Amino acid sequence: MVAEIHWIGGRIKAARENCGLTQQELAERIGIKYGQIISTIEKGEREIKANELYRIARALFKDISYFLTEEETEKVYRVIWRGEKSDKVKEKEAYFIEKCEQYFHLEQLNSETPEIGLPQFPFSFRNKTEGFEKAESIAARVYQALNLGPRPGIILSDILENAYKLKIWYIDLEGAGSAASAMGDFGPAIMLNRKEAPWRRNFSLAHELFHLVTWESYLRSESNELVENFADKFASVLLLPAEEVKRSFEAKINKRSVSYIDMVNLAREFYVSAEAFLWRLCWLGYLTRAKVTDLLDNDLFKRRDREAKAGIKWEEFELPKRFVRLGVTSLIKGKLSKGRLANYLEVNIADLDMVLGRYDFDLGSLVGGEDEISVRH
Amino acid sequence: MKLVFDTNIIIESHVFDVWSQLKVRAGIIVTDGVLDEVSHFCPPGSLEREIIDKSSSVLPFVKVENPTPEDLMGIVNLFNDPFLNRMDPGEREIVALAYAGKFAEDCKICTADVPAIEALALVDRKEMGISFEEVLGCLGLRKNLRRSLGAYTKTDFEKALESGAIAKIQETHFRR
Repeated sequence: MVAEIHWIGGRIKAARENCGLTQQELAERIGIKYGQIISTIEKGEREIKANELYRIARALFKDISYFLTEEETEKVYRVIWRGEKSDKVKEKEAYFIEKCEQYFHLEQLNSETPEIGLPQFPFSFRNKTEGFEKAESIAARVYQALNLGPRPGIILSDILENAYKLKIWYIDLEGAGSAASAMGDFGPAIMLNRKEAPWRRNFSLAHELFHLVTWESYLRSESNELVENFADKFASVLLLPAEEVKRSFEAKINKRSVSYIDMVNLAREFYVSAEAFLWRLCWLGYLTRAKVTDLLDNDLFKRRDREAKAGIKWEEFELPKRFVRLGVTSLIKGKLSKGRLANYLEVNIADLDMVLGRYDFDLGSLVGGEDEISVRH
Repeated sequence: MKLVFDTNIIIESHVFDVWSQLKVRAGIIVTDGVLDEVSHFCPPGSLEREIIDKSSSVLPFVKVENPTPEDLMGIVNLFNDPFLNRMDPGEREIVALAYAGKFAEDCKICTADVPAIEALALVDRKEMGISFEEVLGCLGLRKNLRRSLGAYTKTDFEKALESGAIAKIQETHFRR
């Protein structure tokens, strides 16, 4: 190793450990058979080639500048998980942070940094009763502030993404958890499990939103199960506004009962799972806890739930639409190379046209250049 | 004529069906980063992708030159991250080699991506840049490149060089 860049090996080791990968796993990801080679690179005993460095950087979700600048530039971000449970967590976090930084880069290129920040609410995570009440009141205030209307679940992600510039990623979390949130130079961000049904993802989105709007208080507190319960309460109240749920539910009551199919359809209408809807009915006093537990275990109810879901097809965008739009805009303005956009969208450059077509962009018909119009200022 | 080609240029050469002539009439230089990206293309009006067979159609006709990590470090230390991140790995490799003075003096660099062209101006290698339109012109080939997204024409290429030259004066893309 040339003495001038003696720090590369250590930087690779740190980034690999940050992803929770062994030397052998990293070797396999970059097409090298033996982990021993990674060991010699990390110890500075073997010279690294530029293309190997690129492959390592890609596998560890870093830009090569992280390895080549002598000054340590890595920022440490706190990521809060929902249902964190596997050794994949570190790797998913590293990927999430890299995507958020790319998103932020595109925002910078288009001068689109957040104008309206997410509101912040002080929160004490210690007292259980007070906590639930506070979570409920914060949900009501966020509902008002975001102007979520009668069916919040349908519009929540669009409002957060477009009006509040929240970065929402749909990632295959491979069992690492249900969702996670982070706050950094790039602003607030959430990653959701792409493999989950949209009504589950919606609940996770609202759950994570609780962490973001109480972020400052949370940083000063301990992470525990109670906090997750507060976040669930917040999500339930936000997505299922009491008055709207009452009005819709009571309209379905016939001789003091409601059919299973009406209940599961209402859940779909509010874009939440049947389980989330039942628990909301419980908190609103329509059902007892025992009744909810019984229903969730009832075969006929489960069948009705499955039937109600069967006809629903949902969009499975792999990347946030705004992220793609910012990328295409940067390309048109000549602020981003085509290859770099392909890197950001994780596709081969020759597939760019096809992939952008899925997001309603016709690259073949686009012409470069920054056409401008003078405006009064 | 020695030409350093970026990924876009190799792909567009296939799209415009001029690769078979370019590969034998010009001395083409590429980097591994560029080769990594070149794999297939879609002919105009077709939805079917065609494979660019690197081993038989590209590699025998090109010379591969790669930067060292030290060469890459040169541009990493020169440019700030927002600017560096505008270029893909292949373009960074080409700019790093140009900045390190690793290309022969008579070499011309052909790319169509504005950030890479701007970078040439930023590293004082404006004279090494050449547009795809000029390359085709030199070889007696004519294609309508005006509607392509990117700086394929001489006019757009020069505009991008100019933009890089202005950024150099204003020192907007340099690491502080």
